[in-house]
Amino acid sequence: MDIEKVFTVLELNTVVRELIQIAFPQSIWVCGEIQGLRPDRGKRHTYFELVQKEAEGDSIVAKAKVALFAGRKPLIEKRLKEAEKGFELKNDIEVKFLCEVSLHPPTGQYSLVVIDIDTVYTLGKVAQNRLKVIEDLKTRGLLEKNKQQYFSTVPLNIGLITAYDCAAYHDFINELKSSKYSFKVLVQNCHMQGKLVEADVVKALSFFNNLPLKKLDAIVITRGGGSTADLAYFDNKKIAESIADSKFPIISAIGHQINTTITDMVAHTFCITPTKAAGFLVERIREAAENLNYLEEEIIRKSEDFISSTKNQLHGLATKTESLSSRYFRVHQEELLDKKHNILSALKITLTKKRELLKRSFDSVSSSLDKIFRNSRDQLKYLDDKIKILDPGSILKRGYSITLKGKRAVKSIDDLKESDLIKTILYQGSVVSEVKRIKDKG
Amino acid sequence: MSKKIIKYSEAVEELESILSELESERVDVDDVAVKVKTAIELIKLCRERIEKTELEVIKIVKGFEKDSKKTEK
Repeated sequence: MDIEKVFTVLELNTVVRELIQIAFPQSIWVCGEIQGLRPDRGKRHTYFELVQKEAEGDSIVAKAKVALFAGRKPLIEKRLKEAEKGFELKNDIEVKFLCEVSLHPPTGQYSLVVIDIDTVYTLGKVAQNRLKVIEDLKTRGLLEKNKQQYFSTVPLNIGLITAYDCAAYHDFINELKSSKYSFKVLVQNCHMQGKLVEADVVKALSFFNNLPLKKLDAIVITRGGGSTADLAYFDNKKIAESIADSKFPIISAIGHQINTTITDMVAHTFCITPTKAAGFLVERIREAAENLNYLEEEIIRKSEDFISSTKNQLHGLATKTESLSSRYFRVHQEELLDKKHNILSALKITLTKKRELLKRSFDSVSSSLDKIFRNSRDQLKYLDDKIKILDPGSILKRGYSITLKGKRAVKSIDDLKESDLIKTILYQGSVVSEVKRIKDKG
Repeated sequence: MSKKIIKYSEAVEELESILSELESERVDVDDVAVKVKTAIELIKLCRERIEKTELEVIKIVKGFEKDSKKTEK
């Protein structure tokens, strides 16, 4: 080529196109991340970018423009549908396209024209990323964190994250309603598919977690039906982190029996349908209600048992006391009677003895007295006889007389002289005389 | 849930303690009537907590509670 050759732009672009065609005569496989894809259905051709990011991190290393022409769309859509896990072309997914490298000389636009797609690559990447997220969560101990949250025995206050008014919402609410328990549900309406899922769900979780602890018992995240492609939105690291950090336990009813999402894995409890999630809550309350019934029955029964056993105890004590005291009294009564008997008979003996004594004394006194009286009587008789003899009257009766001078009895002639007046007391009467002559004693 | 003073779980704890006291016969006969009465009140309270009101759904809009729908039909 002449050094002096001056190219026009078109010439240059054409040469470059030819060079490209020489370098890439066939289509080539190119991998990268889709960016700039706008959800513009209806337009015939779709344009976006394929981006290479750093191995760790988000900064872009290189990018290229991609064109998906209308004619190719049916094939691509077929491939997507037939994939083991159907998915859609959307931003941020890693893809492997079979492309023609082309340059449009008028615009100088270099672009990749999509011919085919290797869905296995994308799924592989998705699975890989998913595993990466899970590993990361495991390492940070976040997989089990929410499972350790205390789950109330009566979870009546529920925070619900779902698409308001959708089938899952109605299934969940109706199941709670038919239980007749006093549930109170706070609903946060969220996108449950599409790229807004992450933001909505994280915001909803944040809202609930800002409520005071006593306001909520659990949070339920649920969506119904839908394709497995939609589930991928819930293999999300930010959502998983929000769940792990939640102070409320979370019930997740996102995935299906076979396909669980990361959201389901991190949550406290996984239920396969919204209805089953509600059923889980209802069952918990039913258990609490049964426990109440059990406690009520047992308390009443035990208190009745207790009272009746106490009554029996008392009754037993009373009976025992009664029989012991009866026996005591009976035994002592016999004793007492014995004693009484003994006392009485001893008394009788004593009395008899004493009476005998008395009688003897009396008898002896009596006989002594007799003697005494006899003696006295004899003495008296003796004295009486004596007195009778000595009685002047009886002496007088024998003819003796008493001569008194004045008042004195005259015993000797010495007491007299002639012409004394003397009184002579006879046995009968007295004489007054005058002394005529006194005779000598001799 | 915060209308009454005692928490549901605390009420259940107390009921269980009353039951265990009765079972072990560690109770005075005088206290039995009081405890049973307390137990019955607690049970009533718990039952009310669970069964009294009908389902209530409240839609949160822009961070506020709105559109409270009680007893959804």
